[in-house]
Amino acid sequence: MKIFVDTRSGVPIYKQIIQQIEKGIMGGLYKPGDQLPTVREVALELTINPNTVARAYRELEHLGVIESVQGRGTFISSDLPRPSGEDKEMIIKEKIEALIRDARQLNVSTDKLKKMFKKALENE
Amino acid sequence: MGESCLAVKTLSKDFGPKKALAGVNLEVRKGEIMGLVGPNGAGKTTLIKLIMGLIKPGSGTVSVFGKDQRALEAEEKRRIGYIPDESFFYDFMTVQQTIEFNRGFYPDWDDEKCTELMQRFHLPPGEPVKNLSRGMKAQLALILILAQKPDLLLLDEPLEGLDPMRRLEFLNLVLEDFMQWEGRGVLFSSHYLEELERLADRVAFLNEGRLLRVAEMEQLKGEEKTIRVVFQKEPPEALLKMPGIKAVQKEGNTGYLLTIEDNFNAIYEACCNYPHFILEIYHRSLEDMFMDYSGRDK
Repeated sequence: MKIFVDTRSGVPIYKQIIQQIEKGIMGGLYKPGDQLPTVREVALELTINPNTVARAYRELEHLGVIESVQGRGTFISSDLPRPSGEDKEMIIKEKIEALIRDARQLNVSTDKLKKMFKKALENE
Repeated sequence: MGESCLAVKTLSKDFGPKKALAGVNLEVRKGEIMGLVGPNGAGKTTLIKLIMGLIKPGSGTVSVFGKDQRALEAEEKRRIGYIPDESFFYDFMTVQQTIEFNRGFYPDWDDEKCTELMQRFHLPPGEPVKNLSRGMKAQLALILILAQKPDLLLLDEPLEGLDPMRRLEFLNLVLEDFMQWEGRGVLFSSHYLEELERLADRVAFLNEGRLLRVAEMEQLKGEEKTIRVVFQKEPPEALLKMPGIKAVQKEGNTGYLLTIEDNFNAIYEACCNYPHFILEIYHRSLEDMFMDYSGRDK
């Protein structure tokens, strides 16, 4: 598990760590049960304050994304918080709306859009 | 954690007509790394020397480990590790002689650590100190300090003149030891702000002898940002009224400069999701803040 930090970014380092791990899970890069490096390992690998790493881990644990097992280490949760059906619908609805707005802006007709959408689904 | 390792109260010092320090209050907690920044002549070295008791304060107090600095026993003084801004080596001594010399002052000296680090950094024992490169001298200084097993580390511009690789090596050694030694406090002055950001829990801005601000690094970084966004058409009113937007400035037809003080991620997402031609974030870096506090605008 490789983590990067960018000190020129305005995003605090602990948040960069949280975001990378969350994205890695969403993208299927990390799976439930995968072990995370220790706070100490991350701190020395990236040359950052261990308190910063510990804070990121604490927040991830609080969110239910990771869990620590006494004496064994820290792992991606076996029981990841899943978006509810309603949440999923909201996420997709927002994206479809954004897509429609872009299409209108670019003068793509409703018919054309329907066709393109259908084709994309078929080619999946 | 949270307990005080070092506490400086209303500390002042004049050098003739010059106010070197004026009413500085600063605390370093146990288990904390405090970064100290400020332009040349801000008073950083004076502050550190006062903490070490190398010069006498005009007024104010310094307490170390909860005790007045002047009342510290020799044994307590040995628990302070100090790297001054200038070399403290005797050039005619070899590396090994320098180690033996320093070792003599510290009954608790950690031989094992000293030997291990010497080997790790390939410091040549028989070489006179004057022949060492800058990077090696800095490493030797740190090894000597760490071998005395200090509870408080005072590092005055220790990265000065080191290449990026050596800087990271140096910091890693500080961190490694910091993690082993629970409850140690570190005060660290540097012009290398990027490195300082990696290392420090909090940062103190000093200028013209005054302490202008002490803040959590994470909080500083998360603070104000500006987003420049040019939408493809007029955005919904609600977007511009999201909580956390401090100021809205219109640019051209559908362009906006949003000054954000909080809730940044949600606002940025909202802008992302609305069709736009331009979407850029302008961060205020530690450098920007350094410039502000150093009085760039004066």
